[in-house]
Amino acid sequence: MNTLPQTVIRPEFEASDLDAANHGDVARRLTAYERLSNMDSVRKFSILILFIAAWEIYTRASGVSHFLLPKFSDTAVALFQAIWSEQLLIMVWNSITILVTGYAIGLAIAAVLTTAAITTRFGSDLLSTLTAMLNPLPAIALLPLALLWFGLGSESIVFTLLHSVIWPVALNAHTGFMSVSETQRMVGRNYGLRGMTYVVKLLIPAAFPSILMGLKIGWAFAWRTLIAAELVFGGSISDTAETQSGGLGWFVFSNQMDMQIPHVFAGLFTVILVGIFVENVIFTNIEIKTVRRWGMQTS
Amino acid sequence: MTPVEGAMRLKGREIHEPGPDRVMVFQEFDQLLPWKTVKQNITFALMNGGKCSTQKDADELAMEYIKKVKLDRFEDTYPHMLSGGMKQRVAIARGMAMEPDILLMDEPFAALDALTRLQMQEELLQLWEDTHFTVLFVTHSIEEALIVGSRILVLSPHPGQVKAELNAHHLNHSNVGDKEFSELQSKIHNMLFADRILEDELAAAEGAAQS
Repeated sequence: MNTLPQTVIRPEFEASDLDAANHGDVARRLTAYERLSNMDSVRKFSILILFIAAWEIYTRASGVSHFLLPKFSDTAVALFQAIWSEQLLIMVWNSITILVTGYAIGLAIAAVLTTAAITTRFGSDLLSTLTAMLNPLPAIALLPLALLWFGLGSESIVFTLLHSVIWPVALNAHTGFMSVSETQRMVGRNYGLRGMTYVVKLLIPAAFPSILMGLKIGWAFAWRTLIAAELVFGGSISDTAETQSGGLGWFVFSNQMDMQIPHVFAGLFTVILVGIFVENVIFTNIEIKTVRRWGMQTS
Repeated sequence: MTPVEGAMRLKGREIHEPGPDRVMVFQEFDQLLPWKTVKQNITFALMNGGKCSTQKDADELAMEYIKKVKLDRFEDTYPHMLSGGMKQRVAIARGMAMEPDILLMDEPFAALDALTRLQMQEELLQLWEDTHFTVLFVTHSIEEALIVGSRILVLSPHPGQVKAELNAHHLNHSNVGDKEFSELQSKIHNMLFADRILEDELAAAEGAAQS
């Protein structure tokens, strides 16, 4: 036989005196350790310290050849040496100048492509076809062709950089514009935005999370491509007059030729440091001031 | 956008495209621009809609309407930090600050919880008392129509046609549950559901005939 559970009837009551003072702890201060371990930078920096310690201890204890894996301390010394006496900073500057040139031209072309894609159907087809075709092609694979067309020099590297910047930026910007909500579009038109003001005042800010994402990916691709290009063809390119001292990739390459392994490590370190700086200082600050502040992107 | 037949006119002028003389308040919460604060959302509309020519005028007018919807202290907050009801209030303030010839509200309270909804209806009526602006208010709640509206147009589904025009100017929150209120409520209810019942019966009859 099936019996339903009895409904328990509890006595009614109304609280007559709600006193906050009786609640005791509502908020409690975190301990010093909790506060310290809640800081992102502290946690990540301690991992870095552990890693460096492991590296130093391993190289000292195992007696591995310093041609294969130099000690961290040697690498650090080599890094300072390179900065003081071997013009490492100038080489970094050379690399960054080429990068910024390629990045800027790439952004301009991406802007034209995206504009075409959002205004005409042909433009949209063009962008999606070109992206589908060229995006899987690593930019560095175009360098031999570029050398053939533009000769030895920074133009060739800039050309390959264009390839690594245009597609991710245009693709992300296009996706961003396409996904601007219909309501926001209607709001823009309702308040009399037309033509360019509509794009500048409504579409671009509304699509900004995607655009920023594209800028970040484009930057990361370009930086990798640049170092790779300088590594592979840096020797021949740095012989030309305009890039006399070469770039960062060339620094790594030439030191490997000279068996200056601590310098190779120092060069790679610099590549990482520049990458971290741009990603975690420049782009993160842009993010904090824009999309995170607007609540358009969490974390 | 051209009508198949006839013409749409506002104060004698024909309407062809969206414009700031007819302001729309939407149902969705994302109608506020997330990259602008509450005040900037309103001044943005005022400046671009041609209501104000200087930033100072726009700021003053915006603050006036922010106070009207009781959001002072929140004028420098970004929309993502506001609750749904507060966002709708900003949207209404933005629409009203434009002082349009007609304010179009497409189910503005549909996504709000029941308590906030009651409060917002009350506030809208109060704002209306102050300025007597023209609102076209779309709702699916018969009760809301009776409380907020003064003239009610009942639409039939597919194709939308005006089925009736009723007066409800004398009804508000205090009349809920009155005899007159419930009579009008059930009258509209019957109008809306009469077709459906008929259709259901037809479908049932067809079903019976087939079997």
